[in-house]
Amino acid sequence: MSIRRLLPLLLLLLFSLTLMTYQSNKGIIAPLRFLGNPLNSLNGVLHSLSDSLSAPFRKIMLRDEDNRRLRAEIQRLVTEQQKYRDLFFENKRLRELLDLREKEKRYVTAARIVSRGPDRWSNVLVIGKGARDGIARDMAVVTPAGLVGKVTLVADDSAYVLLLTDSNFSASVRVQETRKEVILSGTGGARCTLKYVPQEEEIKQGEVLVTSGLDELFPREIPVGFVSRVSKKSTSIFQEIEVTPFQDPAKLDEVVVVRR
Amino acid sequence: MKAAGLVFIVIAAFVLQMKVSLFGVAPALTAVVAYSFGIKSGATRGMFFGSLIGIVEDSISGNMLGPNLLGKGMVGFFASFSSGSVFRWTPLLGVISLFILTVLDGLVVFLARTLFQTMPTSPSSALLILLLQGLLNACVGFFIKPRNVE
Repeated sequence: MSIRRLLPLLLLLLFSLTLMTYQSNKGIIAPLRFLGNPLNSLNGVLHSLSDSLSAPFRKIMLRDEDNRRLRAEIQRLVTEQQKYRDLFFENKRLRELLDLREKEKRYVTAARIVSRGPDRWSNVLVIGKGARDGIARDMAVVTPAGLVGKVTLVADDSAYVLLLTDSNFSASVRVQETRKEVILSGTGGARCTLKYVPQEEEIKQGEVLVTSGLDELFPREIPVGFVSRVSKKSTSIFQEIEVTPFQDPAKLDEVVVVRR
Repeated sequence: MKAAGLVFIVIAAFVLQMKVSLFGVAPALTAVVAYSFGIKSGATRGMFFGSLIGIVEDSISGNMLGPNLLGKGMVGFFASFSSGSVFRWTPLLGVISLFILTVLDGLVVFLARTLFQTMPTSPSSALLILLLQGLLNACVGFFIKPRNVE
């Protein structure tokens, strides 16, 4: 490469270095600084133009963000409301249990349902209190709604409750109005049945059943359920009477154990 | 008409350079313009136009005159090398030379400011900025052809 060709570059180098050296000693010279003003104005115009173009999109984004934030807030409030509702119902249940405790002279203890029983074929619940709290075998388990079952097995801090819907459960009950005594048995399903009721006995649908106390297991006058279906078949000796328990075992949270 | 077009391109390069940034680094679009002049108009004219753009950039930035004057001038000068006077232009050569010249321009500005004023940023972040600017500009090198290439 010839010197002649490199000469402009060398001149530029020399000029720039001289200019920079001069400025570093004497201070910056700015003969063309005025060029910045129109450029800055142009930038300002472009900025406002792009701003007005992007404003609707920014608004949409802001609304979207607001929407997401409000959804999260609603979710949080719903969860909180649910928590308060749970607490409200728990409070209501506990208050009812407390009322029952005050009314029921044979009260032993109140207990929470811990779990279902280990055998999936039997209707058994496990409660969180046992012999330490005074619970003994064959004690009645009730709620303010009615009879739940009886204690079948007791450990120190837990007990098994055989529900009145279990097929092994039986209790002596009375029709509340007529005072007729009958045997109530579980069916293994959600309902119970009345056993050994002859065809000539008159038991009507809707009649309320309470414990009779004659079986020496359950205290008297505990509400059990109501007659939900009566079927009289001519071929059978006994009637088929279905009873719906007042207390749905699937909706239990706390129970009260009472002695005989 | 041609002059008006050139002025428009230069102004657009300045405006975009002031507005656009990628990963926090503004692209060196004025270096691309200087390169474009150099590759199309030859070494001397390229250097002249590059220096002109550089001195305007120095003036607008409010810093001392010289670093961009020298940097862009060098870009304009050396850009002509890849137009056939030294190397035969290919798109790949365009990409590589614009990358190298952008880095060179940035390096000249950084060194000049460091020598004659104060160091504008730490050497490591300067290196990162130079490489990013080089990479951003390199893509454009594919499309800027010398006049004699169809």
